[in-house]
Amino acid sequence: MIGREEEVRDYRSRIQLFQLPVVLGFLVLIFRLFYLQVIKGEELRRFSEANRLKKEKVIAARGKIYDRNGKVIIDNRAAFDVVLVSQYYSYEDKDNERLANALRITPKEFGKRLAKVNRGPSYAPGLLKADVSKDLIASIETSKVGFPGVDIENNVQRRYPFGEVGAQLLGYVSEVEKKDIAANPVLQLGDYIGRTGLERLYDNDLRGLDGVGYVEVDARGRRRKAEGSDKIFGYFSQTDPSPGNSLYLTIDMDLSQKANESMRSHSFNGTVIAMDPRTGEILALVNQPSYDPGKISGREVDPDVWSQLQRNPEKPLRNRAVQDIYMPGSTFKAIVGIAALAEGVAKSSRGMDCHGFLKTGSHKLNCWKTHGWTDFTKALRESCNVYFANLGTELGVDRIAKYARMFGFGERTGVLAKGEQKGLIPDSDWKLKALKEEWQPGETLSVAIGQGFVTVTPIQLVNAYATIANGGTRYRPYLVRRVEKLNGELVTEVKPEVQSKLDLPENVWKAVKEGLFEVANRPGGTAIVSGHSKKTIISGKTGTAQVRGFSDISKVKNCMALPVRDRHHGWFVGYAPKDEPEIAVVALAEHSCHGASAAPIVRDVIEAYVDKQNLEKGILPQDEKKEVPKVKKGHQLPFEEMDE
Amino acid sequence: MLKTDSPNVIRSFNMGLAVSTLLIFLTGLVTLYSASRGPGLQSLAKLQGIYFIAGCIITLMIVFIDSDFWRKLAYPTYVVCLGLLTLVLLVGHVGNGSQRWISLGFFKLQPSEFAKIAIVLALAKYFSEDKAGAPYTLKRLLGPALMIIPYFILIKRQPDMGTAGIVFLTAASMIMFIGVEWKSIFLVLVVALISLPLAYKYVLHDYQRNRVRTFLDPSSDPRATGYNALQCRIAVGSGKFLGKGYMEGTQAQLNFIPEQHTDFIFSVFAEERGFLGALVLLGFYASYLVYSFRTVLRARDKFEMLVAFGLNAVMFWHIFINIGMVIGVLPIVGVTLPLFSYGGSSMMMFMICTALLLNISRKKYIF
Repeated sequence: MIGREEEVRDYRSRIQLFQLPVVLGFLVLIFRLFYLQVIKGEELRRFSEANRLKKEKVIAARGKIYDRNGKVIIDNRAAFDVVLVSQYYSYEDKDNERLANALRITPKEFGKRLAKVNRGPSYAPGLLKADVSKDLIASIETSKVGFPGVDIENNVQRRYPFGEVGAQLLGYVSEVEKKDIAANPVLQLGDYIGRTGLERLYDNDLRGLDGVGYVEVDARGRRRKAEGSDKIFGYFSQTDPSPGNSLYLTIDMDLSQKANESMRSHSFNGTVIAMDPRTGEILALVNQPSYDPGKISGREVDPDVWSQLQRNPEKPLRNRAVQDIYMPGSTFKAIVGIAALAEGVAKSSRGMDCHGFLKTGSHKLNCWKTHGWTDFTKALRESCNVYFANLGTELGVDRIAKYARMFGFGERTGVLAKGEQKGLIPDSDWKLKALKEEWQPGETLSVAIGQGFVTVTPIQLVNAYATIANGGTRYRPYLVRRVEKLNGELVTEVKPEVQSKLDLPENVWKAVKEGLFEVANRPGGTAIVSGHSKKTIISGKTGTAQVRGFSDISKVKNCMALPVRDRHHGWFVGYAPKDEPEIAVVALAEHSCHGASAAPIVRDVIEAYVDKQNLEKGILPQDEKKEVPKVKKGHQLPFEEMDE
Repeated sequence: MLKTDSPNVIRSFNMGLAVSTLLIFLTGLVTLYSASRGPGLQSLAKLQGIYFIAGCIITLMIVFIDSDFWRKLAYPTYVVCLGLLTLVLLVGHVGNGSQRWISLGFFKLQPSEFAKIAIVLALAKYFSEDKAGAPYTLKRLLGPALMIIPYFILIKRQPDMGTAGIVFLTAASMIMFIGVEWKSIFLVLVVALISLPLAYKYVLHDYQRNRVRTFLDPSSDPRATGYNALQCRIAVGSGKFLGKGYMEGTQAQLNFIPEQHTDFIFSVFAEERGFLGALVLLGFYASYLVYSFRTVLRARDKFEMLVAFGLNAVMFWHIFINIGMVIGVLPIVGVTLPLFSYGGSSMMMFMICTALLLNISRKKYIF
């Protein structure tokens, strides 16, 4: 066959011409390759290294909290969360359904969570379900291939073996928010910080320092299985996390549990604080109602649980011991008594007649009963309003205030930083400044029996009685004895700190202590039944704090007939044993009407303390029936004083 | 000067083209083995070898078939391909968001690959039989345009912008080669410039517009559309001058590169072998084009010349667009790297290409 070469010949030169764009095209490619691989090569190599190794946070375990005997109060446990990297998820109905089933949540709930994950960046893992069970993890892991983007994240969660006991004191933790990071740039998203109590106060010690690990991942951010010996668990050149420091508290959890139990068994809201009058160490601090911090310290908090805690009118999150103020009621009489003895306006032997009421100007003060002839000891024992109102009038409000401040009233103890209240010790200057009014002498009557403007926190009250118990040394109440590193190295040690010494004549202490002793140990004492113990000798004082001022005396007298929220609070504050006291306890029983309602709680705590001390000494606790001291027939068993 | 039909097939064989083909294929096979270590991909290199051997058998058959056979078959091939392109839209297998394959049970046929050859054959036949000859005016290009447009539209509907683009560029190259009036060229350029923004807005799909956008500014969305482009660039660049070594490319081995066994396989190669390796591979392709260009010169008649030129154009545009998109001089479109990317239809198509070129160059010695 003959070709038609003439057809082709004319195109020969054109063919050469068309080689030019090909050469140009290749040159473009070569120049670009040169630019990328030679000029930018180093930079892009670094980029690819970073690509391969994802920086990952290695969580530092939060420090543990121990009680004074080395019992674990709070530690950590492993938790597993199901997360989703939304950009890899299919969003197909059948996958949604399968995943919802695997997570054991309703499709509607799943939809909500998916929408929430979608609000975050598409490449960052978003939480689907926190703290899932082991078998749920297994079912997710086995079907993970079918759920692109779904992964399990390891996490560390706080564990609270004692549940609600001391929850307000210990506090809870939660994941940081943007504003926390703004306030403290050390924090990173995903960190946990203490929100209340000791968790908050000692957050810097407890938190520790996260480590950094490099994990080999693919483009989906999935960890690859390790292949070589240098890739243990897929990690490269990791900087170890340094775990948080441990706290060793002054708290005795056995005693705290007993206090909590006692509060619950009497079904009163309120607070119990026990402290060692020889050091200022707090031995127990519990509040009722309480909550389980484990329920709100996780990565995912049930919004119902949270809002219920927030909205509960009984305020379970509140640490009543330091955050709430109450009128001290008759417990204040001991302070007024000391002032009167020290200032010489009263002598313990001198007495007066109680007619059941006292009138000063327009003010009329009622006594809860007509005491008749009353000396200092009897006035304390039987809580005579008239007697102390008289002393108050003689002292004047400014001298009462001076002594009250010497016992620490009106200032923060500093035991817990957040929200501690100061309370109020009124004097004539204060009234001029705050209310722009002159002090009325009649108002001193109320102050002298712990009513009116006077407010205190339970921690101030127990500290004041601890000061009486040890004969005038006011210690700063404290909660943490030692902060230690995980290896036992000491970081901080807290020693007892004397805040002030009340240099008063010995006979003043003796007279007051005698009165407080008789309250629970002599016929006629206001806590002779409720506060008396066979195991030790409890000295103390009852008190009633009015919630509302009533002009109608019958309402005051018949407290139990009032609606619960209007009933008076009952106080008992005391110490034991009589000589060289080892423990001081206050109990506040809200809306219990009488101080005698609070006294059994104090007795329970003190007896638990005594039992424990005896156990350590090898003496078994004797569980005998509490015997009521014989009372003369016809003697009116003190019901409880009614102030005003 | 006329030679008798030589019985010596070896001597009449375009050895350079065959060797270039083999070198490209082998380099590709080795790279594919490295790129397909992920789960479910291990058998790809073996399959690619099978495709190549099948391609070789077809090549041998084609090499010895007289070009008159192709001349006669040009229009029927065009029609059959048109039918397949229509069929694929009706019953096609959907993969990666587009409808490109017809399932034959053992093999998924991608008609758009063969459309490239069909359009070359059809245009070559049309121009070689047009007695009026060059230069062409726009009016006289209406016939070829009517051949090209159905292909373009059908392929674009799948959607497969890359192949549609290759069809268009190949046809345009052939028309330019055959000769067009300067006035017409000018007119087309003006119309194209005006209609480009409109086409961007109305013709392109959303994902295609995104690709153009991220091509112009890859960091605009590094996690989504720009992600592939960025990861490819990182892979290529991180190979530096000498490469990270075989199977040591972290970008590829850690699955940072999408479609690393097909359209983006060049980035795997460039990461492992560096600039030097990339130059060698481009050298192989250059060698292929040098030998295949000689085929155009050796063509016996206008039909053969146009077929050879058209196939050269298919080859060149594939190389340029594929590598260009991987290294970021062009937006990302789905175009395979000839004889290198994994894929039966693509491999088969380029083997047929090569076979036709070998066939045409062999004829030189038949005179």
